[in-house]
Amino acid sequence: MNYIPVIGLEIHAELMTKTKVFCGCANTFGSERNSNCCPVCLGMPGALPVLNRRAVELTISAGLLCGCRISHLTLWDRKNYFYPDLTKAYQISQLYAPLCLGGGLEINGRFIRLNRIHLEEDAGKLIHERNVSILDYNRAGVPLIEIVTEPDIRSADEAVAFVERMRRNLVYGDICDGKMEQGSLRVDANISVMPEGSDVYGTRAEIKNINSFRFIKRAIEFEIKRQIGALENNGRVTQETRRYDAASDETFSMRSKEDAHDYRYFPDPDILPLFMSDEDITGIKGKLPEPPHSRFLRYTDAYGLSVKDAETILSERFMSDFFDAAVKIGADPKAASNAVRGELLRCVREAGSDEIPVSVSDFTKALALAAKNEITQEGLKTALSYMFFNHVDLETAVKANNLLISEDFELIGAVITEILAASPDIVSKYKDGNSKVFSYLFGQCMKRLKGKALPATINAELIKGLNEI
Amino acid sequence: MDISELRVLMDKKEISSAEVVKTCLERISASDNTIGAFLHINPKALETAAQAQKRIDAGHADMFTGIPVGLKDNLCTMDMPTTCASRMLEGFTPPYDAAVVEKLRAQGAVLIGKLNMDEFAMGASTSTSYYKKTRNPFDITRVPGGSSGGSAAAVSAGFCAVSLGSDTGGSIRQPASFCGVSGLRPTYGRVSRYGCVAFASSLDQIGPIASSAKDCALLLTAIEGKDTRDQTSTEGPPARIRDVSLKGKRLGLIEELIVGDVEDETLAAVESAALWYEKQGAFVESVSLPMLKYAVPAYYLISSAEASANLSRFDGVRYGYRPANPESYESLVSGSRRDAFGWEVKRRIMLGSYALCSGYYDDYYKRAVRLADVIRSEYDKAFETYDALLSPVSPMAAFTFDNIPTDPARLYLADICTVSAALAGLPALSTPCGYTGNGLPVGLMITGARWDDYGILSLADAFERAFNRKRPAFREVGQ
Repeated sequence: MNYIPVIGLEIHAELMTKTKVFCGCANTFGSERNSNCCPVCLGMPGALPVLNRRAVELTISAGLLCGCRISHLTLWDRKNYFYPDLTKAYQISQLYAPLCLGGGLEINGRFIRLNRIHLEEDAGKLIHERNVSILDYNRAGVPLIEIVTEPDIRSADEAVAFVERMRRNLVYGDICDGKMEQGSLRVDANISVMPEGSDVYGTRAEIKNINSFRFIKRAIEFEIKRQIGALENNGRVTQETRRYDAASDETFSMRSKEDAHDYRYFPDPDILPLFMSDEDITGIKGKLPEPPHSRFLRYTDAYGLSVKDAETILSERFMSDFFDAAVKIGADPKAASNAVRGELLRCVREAGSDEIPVSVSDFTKALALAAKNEITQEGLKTALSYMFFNHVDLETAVKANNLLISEDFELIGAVITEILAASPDIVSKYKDGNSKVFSYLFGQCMKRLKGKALPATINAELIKGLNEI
Repeated sequence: MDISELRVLMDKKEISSAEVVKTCLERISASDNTIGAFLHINPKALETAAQAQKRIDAGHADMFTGIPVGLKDNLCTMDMPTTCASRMLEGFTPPYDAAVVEKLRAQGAVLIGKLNMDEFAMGASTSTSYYKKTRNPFDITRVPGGSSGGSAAAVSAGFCAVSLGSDTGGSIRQPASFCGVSGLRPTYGRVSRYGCVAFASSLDQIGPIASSAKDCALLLTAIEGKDTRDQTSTEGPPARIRDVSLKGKRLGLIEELIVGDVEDETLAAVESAALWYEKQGAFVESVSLPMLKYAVPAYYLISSAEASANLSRFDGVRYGYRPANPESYESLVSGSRRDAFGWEVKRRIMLGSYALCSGYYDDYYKRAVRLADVIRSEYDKAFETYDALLSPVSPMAAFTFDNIPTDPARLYLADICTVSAALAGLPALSTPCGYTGNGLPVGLMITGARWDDYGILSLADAFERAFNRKRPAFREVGQ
């Protein structure tokens, strides 16, 4: 029998606010353990939460990017459960009235609906070391949005594409930095399978806290196979929570439905409802950075880039921002696209960097030098990578590598004469009308004169030289 | 002697802060082993008094500079333990001061110590304290009321000039009434709750207990105001206590709170106070607020539900009691809570958790919240007609330790008079209005419209000036 996978995702994304959602502690990654903490986020007796309005604005931004209906009122509920990383033993979250409802994203022609986006506080971290467990509460109280899809996804690849698209929206919206390796974007996947032709969903299992694109794909693929196997063997799948273990590439049961918590949600009496007017929401919309899709249209329609080239530039926010900044100050879009996708992307990969440490204005000037034939294409590459790795300006890079072309016609003539003299057979073939061999001779000259003469000059001088024989 | 008189004497250098504080400390050391009001006495009280004196000498005194103030033990103090009278927080000193404590320190008040209470403010007799019994200064065989029993007993016994308590369902008013002093539960939001260990967040309010309504007003002025750390706090309309004319004031006597189980002597005292107002030209009549009969169950569901979440943070992980060598996280949490919470606290956590369970939420918690809304609108309607509402504070005067009801349903019903103003977020005060044949004080409750705290304090002040208030027999003998 063939089975259809039915997948719904919950994406947890930490918001890029300066401070935590209910206190003034810094929201930063990688600080010394328990250094960004105060009585509020530590859940000390008598401490009270104060809402960070910026977190609400960023949640609304995420909702606007996904076409959600936005609630004017921000209301809060307490979700009660005991866990060492949860300081108050309740998480302040939004059950009854999420900030964003509905909406969705189109992935390769299929529309994946969202159920909701709500705001909540992240918990601390429990770090297990040999004989001890260490609690780090720096993350406790970091604003977190939970993006919940409807069960509209039908394959592991589609799930990955959805998360990629969502991540891109969040990163371009200045909402979340999207760093899955740091845990600022985590995914839970609800998976079930049903026989082809059926319209009744099967029993689902939830895989918690998947933290890379590769693992999303592998965890879902494993789980689909496991569930089909279970159905074929004993006819049923258990409703349960599972975790994906990357080392063994399998999912393992964490707890079954019978052990599920009753979270005893109720409205949090400590935080007053926050009202956002239509004007407030319009203001948030107006301040949204240009979303990736509209950048894509600009690249392909206005600049004439290919779909593939546009996607490559958009694949990293910092590349797209760099490209846009260059075009804005007059860089030719196609030349800029070639240089960004070519030499700069190569440098980025080589350095494992997530930025381009080259001044946009020097980059644009370098493109102009190449366009005016003052440096060669090879020279442009050299200049860019030299600036990238040595953090110097264009002038220094050009001088250090002696890139400016000052064409020495005596040298060019001498090199051409030498090459023609060394290949009498080819010259005679050319003379006999075989124009194809010209490119061989041209290549030889280019090799010798690289960076010292423009291709056009070599071309002209070579023809002249051949005619003189 | 009231605060403003004390202020004048201090500013005129006729009495020093140290002298006042010493008198209090002497009384405490002479009698607190009998009364049991304090859980902790500030060893630096005299040092603070000396600092305050410098400020007084320099002519920069505020109203409470150099004045001894007692604090209920659920108000966080970074230089004194804050235990909520629970084993859970034995020896716990918070890393910060409550907002009200900051304000008092800024005024140069002398924080004389931390006062006993019912564990986590749950109770009406201060007998659920893990640490000690507090006795009523009027009759040491009787309870001081609760939960702010230590705060009321300390003022009644003259251990401090004024004190702060907290009122969730009557915890300032009922002990004030039992101990024959004045106490105000302010309008919800008037005083920042930051640093008051939460029992039921939507109901908790910090308020003053003092020898007079006038002193309550002064202390309220010192602690009120919006605080950015408590979103539910608000700046109330600026107001002070005034010498009001009672002529033409419209006062309603709440029918639902003067029938039923109210003891005759209590009823008589309250009615004679009503009569006094009438004689001064006020218009007094009965008013019915029929939904008040549901206030007790609504209050216990809401307050216990909130408490069940508020008290979950006491898990033994970061602070507070923990059992020796727990085997696992689960045994750490359950062991801490099993050993360190008393029965009353456990009962409320159980009740509250039950009321929030899926399947029961709509029937219990949600219905209780709707009832609170209805009660609030009944009050709103009454305040369209009346300037203030009168009632007893408690159906009975202070009971003996032997007579604390063991049946919680009966025990909770005694809160009938106080819980409804709390559910409605209204200001309400207690002022002594008579004495029983046994010499026990009886309190009159005056409930006001939202933000009319100073209005009801002014009404009480007028009555207090005409009323012959008794000092506790204990004090007459002891001092």
